[in-house]
Amino acid sequence: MGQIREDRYGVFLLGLVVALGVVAVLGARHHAASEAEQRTRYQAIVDRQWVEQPDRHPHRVIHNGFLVFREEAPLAFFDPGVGAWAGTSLFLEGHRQNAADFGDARHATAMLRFGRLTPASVLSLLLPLFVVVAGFASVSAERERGMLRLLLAQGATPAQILAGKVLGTGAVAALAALPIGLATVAIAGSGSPGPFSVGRMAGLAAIYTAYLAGWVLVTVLISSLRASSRSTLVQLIAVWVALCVAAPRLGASVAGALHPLPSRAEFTAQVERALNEVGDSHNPQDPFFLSLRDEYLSRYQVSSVEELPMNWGGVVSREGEAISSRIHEEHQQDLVEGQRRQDRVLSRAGLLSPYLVVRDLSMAVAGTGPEAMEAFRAQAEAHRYDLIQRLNDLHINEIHYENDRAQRVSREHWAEFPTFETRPPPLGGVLAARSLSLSALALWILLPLLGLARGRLARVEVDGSGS
Amino acid sequence: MAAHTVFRTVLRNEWRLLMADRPLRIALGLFALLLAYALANGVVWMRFQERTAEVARAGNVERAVAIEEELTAIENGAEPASPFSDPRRPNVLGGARGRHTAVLDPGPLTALAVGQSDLLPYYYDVNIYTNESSFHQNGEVESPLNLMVGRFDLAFLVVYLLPLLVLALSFNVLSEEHEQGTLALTLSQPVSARGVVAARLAFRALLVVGMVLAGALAGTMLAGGFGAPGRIVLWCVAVVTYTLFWFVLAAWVNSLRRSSAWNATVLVGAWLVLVVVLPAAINIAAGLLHPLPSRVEMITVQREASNEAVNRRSELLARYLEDHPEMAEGVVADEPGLGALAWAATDAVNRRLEEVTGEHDARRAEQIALVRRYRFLSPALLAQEVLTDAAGTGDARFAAFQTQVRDFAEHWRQFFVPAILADEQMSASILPNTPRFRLADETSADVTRRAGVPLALLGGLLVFVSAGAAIGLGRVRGAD
Repeated sequence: MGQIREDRYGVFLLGLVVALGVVAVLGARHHAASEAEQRTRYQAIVDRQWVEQPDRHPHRVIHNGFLVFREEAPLAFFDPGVGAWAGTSLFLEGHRQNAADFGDARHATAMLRFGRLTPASVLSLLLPLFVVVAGFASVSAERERGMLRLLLAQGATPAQILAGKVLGTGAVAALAALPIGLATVAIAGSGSPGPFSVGRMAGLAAIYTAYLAGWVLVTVLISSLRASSRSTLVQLIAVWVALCVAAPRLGASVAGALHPLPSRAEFTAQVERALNEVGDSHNPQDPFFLSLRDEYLSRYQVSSVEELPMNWGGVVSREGEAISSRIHEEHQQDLVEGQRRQDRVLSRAGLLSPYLVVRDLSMAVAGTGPEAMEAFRAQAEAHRYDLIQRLNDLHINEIHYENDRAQRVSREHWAEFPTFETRPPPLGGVLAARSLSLSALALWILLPLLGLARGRLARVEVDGSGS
Repeated sequence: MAAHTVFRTVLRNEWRLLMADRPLRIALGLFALLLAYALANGVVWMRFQERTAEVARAGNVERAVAIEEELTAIENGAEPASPFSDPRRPNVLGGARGRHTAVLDPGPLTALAVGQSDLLPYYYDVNIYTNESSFHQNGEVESPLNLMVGRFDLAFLVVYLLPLLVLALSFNVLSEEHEQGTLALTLSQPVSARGVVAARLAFRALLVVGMVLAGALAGTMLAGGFGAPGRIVLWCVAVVTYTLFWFVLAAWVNSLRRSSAWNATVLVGAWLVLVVVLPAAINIAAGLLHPLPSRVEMITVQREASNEAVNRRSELLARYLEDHPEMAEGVVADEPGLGALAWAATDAVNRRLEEVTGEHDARRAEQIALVRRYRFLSPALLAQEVLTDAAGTGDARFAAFQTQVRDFAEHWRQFFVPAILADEQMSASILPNTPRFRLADETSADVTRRAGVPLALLGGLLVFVSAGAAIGLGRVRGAD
């Protein structure tokens, strides 16, 4: 503490980190609020457009489609996660599963690749470096000045000295982290602090406390092991660069190389090929649908589709939708499985870099991680399928086969359709799937603690009396 | 002693010193390993893009062959497979079924700098329904996490990690002598502090720059050869300038005569501010001062416009024909067909979309202008811009591609729409005349002109720190 106060550079750095953190919170809040407001507004417009449709043929409504927006999690302003890199809206229509469009990152400049200053990135990326600068000299400088020997001679035990250094450096770290935490709580609280935010904010607080505590311990440990402050600093900065700057890109590229994904062109071609194999519901001469027709004719004991008690065109449409959805979903699941495999490589890499762990946990708890994006896609797809099949049922039951195209169903039906809501994956499930990350975070604290406990007696005494 | 002999002595001595310093040896070795990995990674990515471009082009051929077969069969009396995809109809042949995929080949140096090429689309399916919203679809199926993190390529290594290696090699170039008490001895020789620092740093700079350039050239060779010498030169000049900036900055800080630990702290702080904080802060400022209107507005507008347009199709068609006599060619049927009516509605929606996009693009241009105004603050931003532009993976090349695709889509419409309006049928004989996309790629001269500005700014920063270092070192005397 004292060291920092005397050091103008240190005070400047503390001010800088705190200012950056608070600016990040305010900036992120501003962005998130306007974005959330827009999405809510447009979802309302789209919902209204749906209900205000005139009397229409159900199949026309199927082709007209429907639009859903991904609602951002309340804590997205703290950690936007992969939100900007995933689509924000999804166009739902018959016969096909569209990919989510309008990812914000595609409209930003290349600058975005340098990273966004968010509260989460200040805490996970910049604060560790601040801890390093605040604490690198904690033990080694005492040794260099001969103070260590003096302290030991006065009866302080090495454990006491190290504990004091840990507490001192930890206090400085807390001083820098608290304003960010308080600003976050204040802003999240000023909205509508549902049960969603409270539990998750506590989770985030625990995660970042553990992460920063690990950095404090590692800093003091290395400071107590190295002979000079200079080599302590060089080594700690190397550790920071390796863990926080190099590891994320290395991890992602290794994961991508181990489990490559197809390109969009390849993926689309695969799905098209698979769809062409089973049949085309818009083609009345398609062999699959011809055999389906024969099955219906024999089941209802009639000789032509006109005599069926339901609208044959609607049946074809419903069966076609069921098949194409299944094929799409199978291919989509392959993709999701590929991405999960990549994610698993990254969680294992988390054992080497706590930054990967804290980033993963933070996004997961804030509800902005990859699985939240996948949950949106899956929910939108379920909604789409339900919507389309309800429309097909209307087609089957409310429209007569004869003169099919000229008929309409009443607009009153539109209000009976359910509205779409984004449901973030529940916190319990998200954390349960991350036992590896949680253990890695525990190790990040335990290992340096162990190091401090084992190394301290011999090292401090020898160096304290020897140098 | 002649100056060049001193220089040689210092160089030889430097090599011995460097090899004796184990941590530095490890750092250099690690950097070399990462360099190799980054290159391999970049080459793999470039190959992936080349393969994808092949798949897209093969799709064009495959579709054309299938359509030609069906058209020929129909001409010989067969029935179309389905009335909805009858290739004789111009809105089918010019629509999704007969679509043409416009492809942008990977930039010549993609293997060195992946840049924006993993984020921005490099192929678009073009048909008569292509409009502004089409440019927001077709995103890659990449995991969003990987997109966010970015790729581990040579440009990343140069922009982020190379400065740190440089700082590790040079933060104590003078302060160490001072701390070991050898500075006075050295300066009692007929050499200046400036000369000693220059010689010591020159050696280290040669080592680092040599490693990176050798890697870059090896990567270029692996990834397709030296077909773009202008781009390669630009790339190398940017790397050299950026590397020298950090060496000279270290020399300047050393000339302030503080301890090695102080030097290290200040230099790392400078790295943090210039490479991490400033770019992120400019990002935030750009977002706050010129917020982009949410793109979701666009798709809602499209929906509203299409709902409205469907109800006013006849009116819209009349207006369209008045505005586009060239499309009608004077052969419009008195009784407009369904195809013509539908087209009029489609066109009205497209116009409305273009209005909205125009507003969005204007706002985005303001944001980019702000970023450009302040980019000189960060050498990392400047270097990144030159490196990606030289590689052909920067924003500008993708924007030019998109513009050309937009023009091509217009061309495509001009080919098919008159037939739609006139309710004509297409035959196999017109297939060879259907438009094909030909990219007019930027030339080396274009790239040099565009990248010249940031490169000159980077050079300006180098001159600035050089002046500071020269003055500071000039004041260093051995006696104090």
